[in-house]
Amino acid sequence: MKSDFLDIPLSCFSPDKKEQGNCWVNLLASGEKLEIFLPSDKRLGNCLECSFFQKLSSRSTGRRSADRIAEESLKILLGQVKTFDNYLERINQDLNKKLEELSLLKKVSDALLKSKELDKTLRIILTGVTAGEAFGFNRAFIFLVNPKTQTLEGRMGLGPKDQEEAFKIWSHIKKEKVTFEQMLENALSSEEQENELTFKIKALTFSLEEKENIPIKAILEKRSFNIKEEEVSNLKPGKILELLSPKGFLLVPIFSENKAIGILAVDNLITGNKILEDDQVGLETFANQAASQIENIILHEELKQKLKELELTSQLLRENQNYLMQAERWVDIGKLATTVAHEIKTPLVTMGGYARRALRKAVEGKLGPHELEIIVKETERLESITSEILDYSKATRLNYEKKDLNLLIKDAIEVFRGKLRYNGIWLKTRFSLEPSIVNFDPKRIEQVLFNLIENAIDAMPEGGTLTIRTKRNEDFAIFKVEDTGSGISEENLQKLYIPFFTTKPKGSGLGLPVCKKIIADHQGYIEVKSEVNKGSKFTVYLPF
Amino acid sequence: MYKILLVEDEPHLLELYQEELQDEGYEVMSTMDGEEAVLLTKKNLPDLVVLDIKIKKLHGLEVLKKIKEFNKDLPVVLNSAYETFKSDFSSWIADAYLIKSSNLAELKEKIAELLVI
Repeated sequence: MKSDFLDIPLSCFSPDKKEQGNCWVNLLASGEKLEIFLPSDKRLGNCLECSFFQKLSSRSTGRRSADRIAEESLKILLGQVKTFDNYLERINQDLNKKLEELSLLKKVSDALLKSKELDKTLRIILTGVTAGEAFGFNRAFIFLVNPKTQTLEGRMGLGPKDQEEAFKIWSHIKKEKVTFEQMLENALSSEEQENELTFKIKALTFSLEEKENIPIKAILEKRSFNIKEEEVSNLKPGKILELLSPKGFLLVPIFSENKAIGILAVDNLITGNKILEDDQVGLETFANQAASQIENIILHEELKQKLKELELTSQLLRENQNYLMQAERWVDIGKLATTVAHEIKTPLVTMGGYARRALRKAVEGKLGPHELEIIVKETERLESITSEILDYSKATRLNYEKKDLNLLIKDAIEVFRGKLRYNGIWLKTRFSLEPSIVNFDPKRIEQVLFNLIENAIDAMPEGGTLTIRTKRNEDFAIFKVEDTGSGISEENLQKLYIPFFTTKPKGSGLGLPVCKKIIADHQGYIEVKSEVNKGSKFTVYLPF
Repeated sequence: MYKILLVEDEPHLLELYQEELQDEGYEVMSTMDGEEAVLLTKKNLPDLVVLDIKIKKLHGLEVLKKIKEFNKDLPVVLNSAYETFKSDFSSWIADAYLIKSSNLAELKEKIAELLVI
């Protein structure tokens, strides 16, 4: 808004130099009649300081003239007040309009903040541009810059496709009293509804190299193009002209800081209304506001995409790791093969030897049960060795169940009560107060527990105390099996998990390696502390 | 009747060898641990020793050394499930190195051969 004061012709340039050409006091003093005369406050202030004015208003000669000056001064002051009043009124109107614009912008911004998807964000922006309460353009389009392909791509359009549809939409809005908030809400909640305009605009892609193309020009020159009806025909024909109204259109570049985001294009194809300069300024402000939102959403989507890729990669890695673990196991198995052959050789030799003996005795008719009994026993031994090897070497598929570890351990202990009593072993238990609900394969963990308890019993041939404890911390459910037996020497502690290493006359040497593998399959780990002749403590950590 | 000392820590195998060698007409004494094997050699003076290598208390090759120190002419047949120790030079002082088999013919032949000489 412009100040009216600036339009008033200057009346006095230098009050004290008595250049009174247009001086109103001088004119009044000489009996002229004044029509409209509205000096600025500054000029009036100058008059008060002006020696001519002072002299004229105070001198005794010509009282009538002094009275006239006083009367005219009052008029002038009143006139000035009225001007101020008008001025304020206009500012007020202006402010109200701005306030309304701002509140609309705020509604759009609020809706934009709620949007987490690019399509919804764009729809909200277009709703803001086309809604009657806001900018009220007939149709609006958004093109976005694709930095990868260096192109400007049509993304979304909003508006009626023809007169008929326009009438239908606009009368619906009027009849149903659809508010701006409801429109924004719709834009935010509705899913992809590809309209004809979006379909059309999506077919449009411009290379950023097409420097003469107006949308590209708008981006490169960072300025809006308000093309009037008479200018449209002067433009080079192009795809954008097929899309937009021949009666004129407005292109506003969308920039976030200095980064080109895209183009907002609007027209009034249906009503044919002219696009005013005010509309342009308003839309530029709006585009500025929307830019950072669009950029945020694009970044957000890129981030989501990256996250997805990352997830995929980590899944691949996990699979790879599984594969590696499996491969490692195969290497282990290779080393095992020799040991296994050795392990099974003795029972085989024994069985074979007895079989030959039995055969000979049978031929002689002297076969008793003794040889056969031994063969059966050795067969059992072989079977148990082979099944333990299988246990160790196969890739176990865990049957996970969510269960209370405490319950599993309590049940397992019951199995051993008789054996413990028979071996003169005291049982002490201490369970965590809260249940330890863990996702695990109960059969497998039970196997670990049985193994550890068996080992503890074997370590205490003269009796002792077996302590079983459960605990939990933030990440793990923990159980400990502790004995007061023979303990494990430093040297043997190193070999504890080497397959087929055993210190027991009848041990297979696979118990602890299998335990370790089961626990590792659960992503947990096992720890051991031992002192010779004092006892051993095995601690198992299972992740929640 | 020749006396054979049998050192073997697999009870069923020990039993098998004992029965089979007795059937061949030898007098068989046996033990499962290495220390006792050395003692029995010195005390009972066997004519031949059949010695497993992986035995309790004292390693079979240690036992072999002690026996040969006591009497270098006493024939010792190493009887192992593995060939591993064949490359260990301390096994070379033994009179024979046999790999355990369910067929005892080779063992019996070797024993007969060593006792005749």
